[in-house]
Amino acid sequence: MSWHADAQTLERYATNTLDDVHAYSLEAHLLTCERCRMGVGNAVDRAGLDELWDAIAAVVDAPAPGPVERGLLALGIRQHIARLLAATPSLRISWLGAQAFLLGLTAFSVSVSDGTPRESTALVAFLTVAALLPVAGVAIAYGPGVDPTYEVGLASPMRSFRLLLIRAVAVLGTSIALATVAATAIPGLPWVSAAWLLPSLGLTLATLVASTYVRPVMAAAVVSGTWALVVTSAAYRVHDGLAAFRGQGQVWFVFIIALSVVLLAARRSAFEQGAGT
Amino acid sequence: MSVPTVEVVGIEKSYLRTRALSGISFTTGAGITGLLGPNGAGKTTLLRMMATVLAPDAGDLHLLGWDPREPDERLAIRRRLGYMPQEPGFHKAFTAFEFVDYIAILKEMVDTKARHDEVRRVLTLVGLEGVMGRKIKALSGGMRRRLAIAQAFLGDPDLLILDEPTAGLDPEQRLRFREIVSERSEDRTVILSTHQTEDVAALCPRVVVMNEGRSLFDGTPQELAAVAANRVWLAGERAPGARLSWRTGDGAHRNIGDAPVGADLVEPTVEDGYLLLVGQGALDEEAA
Amino acid sequence: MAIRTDSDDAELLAAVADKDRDALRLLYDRHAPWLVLRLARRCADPGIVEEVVQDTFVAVWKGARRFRGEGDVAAWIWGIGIRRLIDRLRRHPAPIPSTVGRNAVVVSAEEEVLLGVEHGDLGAALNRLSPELRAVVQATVLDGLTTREASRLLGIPQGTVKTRMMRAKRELREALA
Repeated sequence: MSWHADAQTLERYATNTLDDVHAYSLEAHLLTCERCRMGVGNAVDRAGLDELWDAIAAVVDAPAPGPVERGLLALGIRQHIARLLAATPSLRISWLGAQAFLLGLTAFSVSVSDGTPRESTALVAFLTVAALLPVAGVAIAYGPGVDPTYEVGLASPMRSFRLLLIRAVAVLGTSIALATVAATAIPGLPWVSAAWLLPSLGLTLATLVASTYVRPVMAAAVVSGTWALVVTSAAYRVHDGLAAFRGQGQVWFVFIIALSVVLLAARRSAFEQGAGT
Repeated sequence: MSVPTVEVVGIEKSYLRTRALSGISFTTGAGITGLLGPNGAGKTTLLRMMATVLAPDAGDLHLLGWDPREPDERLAIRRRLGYMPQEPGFHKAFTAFEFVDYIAILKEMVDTKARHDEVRRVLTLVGLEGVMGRKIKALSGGMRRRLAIAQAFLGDPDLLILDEPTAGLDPEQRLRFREIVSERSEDRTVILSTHQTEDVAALCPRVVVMNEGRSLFDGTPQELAAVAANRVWLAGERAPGARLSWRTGDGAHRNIGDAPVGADLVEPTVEDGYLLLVGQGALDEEAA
Repeated sequence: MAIRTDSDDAELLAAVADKDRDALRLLYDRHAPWLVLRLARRCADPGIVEEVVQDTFVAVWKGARRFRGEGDVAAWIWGIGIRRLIDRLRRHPAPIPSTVGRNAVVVSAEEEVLLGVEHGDLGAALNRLSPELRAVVQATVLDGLTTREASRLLGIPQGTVKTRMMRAKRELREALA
């Protein structure tokens, strides 16, 4: 580049006393010339520019939350709770999608199976899955091995029990919501479709209690395995696939829920320190 | 010594068949204390106890004057604690800012504006302010380690527990780390573990050497070097009576042990003292 | 990717796409001054100019990935800036800068000759256009705006932009003939 603006031109431009024609060629020139841009930079008030930068930095530095967090904020959840939830593996889009898929699949298979829905094994499958999904969700919501900041979390003032409860409630809530939506695909039997509700609450609470003794993943495995055994053995004994979900089973779960709440309250301090590895 | 802030008395801990800590005791106050020892010495177990994450099987522990066995006192300790574990974990999908913000929430900083200012402060402290908006999975290993150090400084803690903070840092980053940690170190108690003697020599006025769950030495780096006084000499080759011997960069052999008469004695370094102690411990175990 | 104070604009922009805040600061130091001045010559309200500059650099931060390496980074930044200004003015019309004090420079015949020497006859001819005609030329030719964008920037109807453009062309042709 052969032509550069002299200091007087730049000065005039900076004080808005340069005529249009000169200004046009200078402006076109500035788009391609670093040196003259620097010259202009020297002629402009720095203090004002620094203040303007602070305003830009404030916008740039503010964290732009991810989709899950934005959704939670839209629901009116306070920002710091939303951040805690956004760090939960079982509230990620991928896990929610997997749940939706599984529930949709089992619900769909009920609605297209032969015979009355009352007798279909597909219905048993749907109810079992709906009851167990929050258990799995809670297992991967918290604890060593699934939460990368587990150690630091233990050492921090927030009670780990509180963190676990917040996450468990969110996981349970989303699972129940998804299962309710999937259940609308099953025709004609509203009460049966809700038969998973008490079991899912009871099993989840039982998992939380069990995780005061063993790791959450182990606790979930034990609870799920036991439940699967109960469902199949009850079904075989009375030749009714839905045996475990009927009235008596539901009553059992009321007891399990009450007992779990008491035990959980009593043993909650077990979450506050780690076990030796 | 000033007011003791960390009192460790006869701490024991066993996992299944391993004895991680076999009765270790020391007391320390404000300033930087280094825990030096080989892998498996029990440093991490002890640091986890000091971070209130783990409870001892036996012995007494007092942190900042409180007993971590009492839930209320444990909470009080945790409010003044910063902890960096040996294997810091991250939620990879978070940005650097979001991650530190998350830890700050765990530290009960509820007011959003004040919390964000504090997050920016600690990130600037470790030199990561330029990459605040970058996702952690896009950060290098050294940057992630600095991130882990940054979160420990949240809330300006009185007790800072750092487990192998310099692992994986290059010499320049190590120097920077020393600057960060030694700033205002007289106001707080810093306990860090390492198996690098240079870190200790440069940074810690107080050193505790650990091996196999026990404390072998407790004093200043100069005193640690003095353990090897008159027991370090140079020779053309590996000396037969030396406990430890290795070839240095300029070709000579550095020997530690009982020096023969007329040997070319040299000033012992902190590393010499450390090796003498740790080597000795290992040898004692064999003999027993 | 490590940036240095002598990295070129394209490198800085690539670093900004990687969320490197220091790179944005450097780009800001290099380009904010001329952007402020150039926008101030199209909008007399300094508050609006500041807001537009702020919006522009935030947009650079968010959209750095969209720069495909075509042309200068400065031109790309100008494109963002002028469009932000136009958008802003569409919602809140603001005064156009007065041209008093600018033409006062070129009075003497001597300087007109000089102008002719520096910019050729075109420069002198442009200078003899009335300020409104010149403003339209600046908007459409120099800033590369469409008729609609120019009408928003200048606060005049699109039809007026077209007629003024035609008059400007005619007068320039006559002056250069």
